[in-house]
Amino acid sequence: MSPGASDDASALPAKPARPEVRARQPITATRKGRRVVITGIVVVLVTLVGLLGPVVIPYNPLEIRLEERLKAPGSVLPGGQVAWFGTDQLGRDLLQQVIHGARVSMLVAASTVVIAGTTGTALGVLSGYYRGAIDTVLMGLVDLQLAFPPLLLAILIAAMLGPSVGNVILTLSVIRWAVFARLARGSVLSLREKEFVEAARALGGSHARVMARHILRNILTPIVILATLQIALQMLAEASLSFLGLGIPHPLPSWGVTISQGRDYLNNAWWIATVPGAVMTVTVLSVGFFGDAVRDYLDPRFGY
Amino acid sequence: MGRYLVRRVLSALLVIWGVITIIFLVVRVVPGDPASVLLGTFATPELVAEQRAKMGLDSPLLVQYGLFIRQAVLGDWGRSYHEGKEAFSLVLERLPATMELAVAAIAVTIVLSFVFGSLAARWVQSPVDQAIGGLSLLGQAIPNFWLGLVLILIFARRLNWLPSFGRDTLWHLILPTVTLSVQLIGVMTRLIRAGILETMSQDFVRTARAKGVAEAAVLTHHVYRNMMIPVVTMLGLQLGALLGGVVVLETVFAWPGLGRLIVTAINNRDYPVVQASVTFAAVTVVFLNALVDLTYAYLDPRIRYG
Repeated sequence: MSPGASDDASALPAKPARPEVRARQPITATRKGRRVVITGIVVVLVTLVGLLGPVVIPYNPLEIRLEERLKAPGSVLPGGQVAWFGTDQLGRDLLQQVIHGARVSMLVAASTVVIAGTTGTALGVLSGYYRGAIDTVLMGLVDLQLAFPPLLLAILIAAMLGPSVGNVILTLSVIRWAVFARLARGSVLSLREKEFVEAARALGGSHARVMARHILRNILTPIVILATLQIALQMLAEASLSFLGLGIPHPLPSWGVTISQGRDYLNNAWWIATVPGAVMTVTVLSVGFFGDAVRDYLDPRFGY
Repeated sequence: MGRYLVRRVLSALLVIWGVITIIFLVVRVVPGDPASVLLGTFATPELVAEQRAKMGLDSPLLVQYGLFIRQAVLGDWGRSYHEGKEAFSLVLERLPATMELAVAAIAVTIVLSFVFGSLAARWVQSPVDQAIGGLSLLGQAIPNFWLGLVLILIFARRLNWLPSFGRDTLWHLILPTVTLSVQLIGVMTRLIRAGILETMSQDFVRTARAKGVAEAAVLTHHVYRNMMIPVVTMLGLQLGALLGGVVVLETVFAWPGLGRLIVTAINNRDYPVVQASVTFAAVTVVFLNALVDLTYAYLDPRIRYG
């Protein structure tokens, strides 16, 4: 959270002592560190629910129970089972759909950030390290990509590819690589002039070795920060695509798809559209808090 | 300034060319045959071949590219498969509705984020500041299409205060505008708060106060004026996100604008309209961003482009 960031910095002990102190302290010793842990626990919990939930509560998206359709949250179904979040227009349990939605959302967000992050970082490092023609071309592409409204490009690509989980991952990776490439390149530019890089080269290290061992390691912090902040954005993008029918294909449950179906039942079954969105908001918010906490902990000056 | 203007316009044209090329690549090179999609599953191979020829899909890629650029420059995308009208005139027909929504959302955003940002900066670290900070984070986390549905549910269906969809009276504008601006307000409030706090600590603010300038005048004449550049830059950068929001929300509110046109055209496989509308929208955003760059010199007379 940036509001707290600038003010916390002044409250820290005198500067010279800081690196040493931090090296020995456990992460929970500072307020910022504790925030990383607390927000991290929430994120881990949501991930666990997404991963393990389907194992604990088996759910078949194709199982239709018309006699149980549009039951309000908390209704008790004939089998004695309680539909905590209610049921949808086909009698499917909304809680199970939401859990499966969490799973899809996490899967898409995490994998696209990993794919876009590694590709973008690799290209950015190459660009900043070698400069010259490769840099001109790659950064031209980055500028172009960043000029293109991201969701519009995603909608166009997804529409051409057709809805599927793989295609959503591909689409959302394509629209995000450029942010990583630009950040990586910027960080490399200043690093490549440093003495330790020159020393590594003088000692006979190959370009590949210098990039992987010396440069990449030193730019990892901003990259990790950017990646955690991008996860929330990707969750929102996936839900938007799915809402428009261009993302996760029906009948696979995803938050966007469920909300879009609930649109037609706003009058007689408000819970279908509202409950998944509320869960999603809480999830995105906690992922966002986690990203902010990581940023403040690792580097309070990082301006994203 | 003149030379800078020329350079900026040239680079904008270059980006616009790139954007058009990306759209061409996505539409033509991504697997999937528009001709067979258009004709449906029962079309004979001969019919598909004929349709491909009619759409120019059988010529070499480079020729298609040349044709595509020509269409983009002239705005001549052919007729909509669905409505029979010129695709580009459909885009122009829908433009006012989207402009209305976008301008309303930006206006609401500017006013509210200045109010919230100033309040938060005035009482830093107070409960007011924390509440505003929390709300702006929440605003950025809420999926906008969901917020739209919740607002419809509350204000249209339950309370019956506002219409839930369509574009008719000023009342119809309220819910889509609020929904569209919530995320922007979140982003801008944080930025404005930080900007005010930073500018407030500068020497010229202390000087202004020392010579007895009233606090309100310090804020409007010295502080706001000096933080306009990041604010305008950020607004420019958010235009792309705003457009994304428009596409989704016009579907939610059945708002007859460009975004709704894009989504229905995609669902109908109406390729001329998809190309026309997406190209127009993307080019407009690039153009507006170039315009934002040019306003810097006006906002900050210290900037002189050589």
